[in-house]
Amino acid sequence: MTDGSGVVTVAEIVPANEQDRLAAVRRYDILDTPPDGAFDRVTAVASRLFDVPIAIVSIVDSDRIWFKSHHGIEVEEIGRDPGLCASAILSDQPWLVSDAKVDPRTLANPLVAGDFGLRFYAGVPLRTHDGFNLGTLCVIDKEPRDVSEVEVANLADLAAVVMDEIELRLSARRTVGLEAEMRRRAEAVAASLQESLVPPAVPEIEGFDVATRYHAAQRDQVGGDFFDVVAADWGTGLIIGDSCGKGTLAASYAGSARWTLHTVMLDSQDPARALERLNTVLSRSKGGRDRYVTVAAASLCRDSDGLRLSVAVGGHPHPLIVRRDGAIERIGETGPLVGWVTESVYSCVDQMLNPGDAVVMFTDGLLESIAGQGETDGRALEAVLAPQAGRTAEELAAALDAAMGGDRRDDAAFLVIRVL
Amino acid sequence: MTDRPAFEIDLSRSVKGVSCVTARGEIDLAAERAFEEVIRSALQAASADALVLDLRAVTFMDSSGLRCVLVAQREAKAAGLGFRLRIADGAVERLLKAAGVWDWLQYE
Repeated sequence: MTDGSGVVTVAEIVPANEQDRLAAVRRYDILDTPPDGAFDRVTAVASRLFDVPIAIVSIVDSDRIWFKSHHGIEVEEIGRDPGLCASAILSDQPWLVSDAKVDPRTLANPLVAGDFGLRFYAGVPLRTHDGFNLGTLCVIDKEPRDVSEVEVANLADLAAVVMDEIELRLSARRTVGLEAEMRRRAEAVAASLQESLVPPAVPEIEGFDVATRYHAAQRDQVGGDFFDVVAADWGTGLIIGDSCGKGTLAASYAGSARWTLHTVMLDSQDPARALERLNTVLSRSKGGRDRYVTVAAASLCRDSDGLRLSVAVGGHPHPLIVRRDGAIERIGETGPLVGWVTESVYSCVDQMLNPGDAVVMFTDGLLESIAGQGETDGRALEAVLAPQAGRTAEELAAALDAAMGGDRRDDAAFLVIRVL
Repeated sequence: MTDRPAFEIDLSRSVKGVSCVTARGEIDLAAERAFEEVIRSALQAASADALVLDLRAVTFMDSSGLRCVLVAQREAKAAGLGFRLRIADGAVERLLKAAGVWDWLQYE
C-alpha cells in the first residue's frame, strides 16, 4: 500500500473495480442531493456514541469526497486524498486510525497535515448489496484516541442503517420513476390511438368546404369518438361515431370501426348498406364482444337531380342540415347501435343539397356540452347553428366551439361540410 | 358528486325467483363496474329465473350504462333467464330510443 517513503500514493487509492463502483455511485444518484434528516440523525448518533465532535456520511466520487451528512463540520466536500475515506473504501473492513499524525497511511493527508489537525479517524464502508463501496460512515476527532471492538461494531451497525436508507431511496425513486414512465407511455399510447381515430388531415373535397373538431375531455384518456371523410370515386363519404366507454380498449375498437367503415364506403355510396356491413364485421368480432359503436354515415353524390345527401343512423345523434336560409333539418331514421346483434338493419334518408347548405354531424358529447347532460334532442344545437346559416364550415365550427361549455364530461367530435 | 355517491345500486332477491337490480342516480363510466358486478351476482343467484333491472330512479345514463344493460340482457338470455326493465319516462327511455335499441328490450 505504500511507496518507499511510507506515503500512500494517489494511484493506490483507486479500487480495482473503480469503473463499476462509480457506476454504482451514479446509479444511487445520491451525489449533490439536498440534506436529509435520516442521515443527519445517524451522524448525530455516531458522534454521541463515540463522543467525538465530527461524524460524516461520505460518498467517494471520481475526484472528490462528497458529504451526504456532516455533523460538527461545515464542509460539503473534500479532495479525494489518500489516507482517510478514500482509503477506507478500498476494503470491506473498518478503517481505523488512532493517531493520524504519526500513522504513515494518513500523515500526508491535507486534513491531517493542514490547519484542520485531524488525529483520529474511524470509518466503515457503505457497501451496496452487490458489493460496491460507495463511501463511508466515519467519525473524526482532533485528539488521538483508541476504539473498542464494541464501538467498531456500533459504527458498522450505523453504516448498515445508512446503507438501508440509501437503498430505500433508490427503490422509492425507481417506483416513482416507473410510475412516471408508465404514465408517459400511457399518454403516448392514448395520443397515438387518438391519431388513429381522427384523420390527421381531412382531404380536400372539390366543391365543398369542411371543418372538423375533436375536443378531448381529458388529455391522457382517449375516448371513443371518431370521424372520417372518405374521398371515393362515387363521391364523398362522411362518418361520425362513438364507441362506448373510454380508454385504450374503447379507442382501439373505435379505430377498427372507423377503418372498416371507411373501407366499406370506398366501394359503397349507400350508407345504410355500409352500416350493415360494419355491423356484420363488428358483431362477429370476438374482441369486441361486449362493445358497440353508435355511428351516423352519409354520402354526398351528384346525380341527375343535383347533389344528393343520403344518411343512415345507427343509434347515433342525427346529422343536421343547416340550410342557407337558416332552416334546420334533422335527417335520418334511427337504426340500432352497430356491432351488437348480427341482424341489425338500417335505412337511408335522402335530401337534396344546394350551394350554401351545410351538413353538421356530431357526437353526443357536443349535444350534452351545449344542451346539458343526458340531452338527446338537438334544439339547443339548432339555436346555435341557425344564425350561422350560409357561413363557411369553419365559421359554423367556431360557433359550436364557442357554444360548448368549458367543463366537459365527455369527448366531443363534430364535422361540418358546406356546399360551395 | 358531493356528499353521497352519484349512483346507488342494490340487489334484492324478491319473490318467485326474480332477481331485481335497482339503480339510482347517474349510471355512467364511474358506475359501470359496480353496475356490472351487481348484475353478475344477480345472474349467478341460483334460484333466479328472471332478472329485472329497475331503472326508474336513474336520472342519467350514458353509453357505459347502456352497455351494461345490453350485456345483462345477453347474459340473462344465455343463462335461460327472463330479462325485463322497469323504467320511468325520461333519461333512460330517451337514451334507449336514441340508441335504436328500444325494441330489443322487454319492459314491465
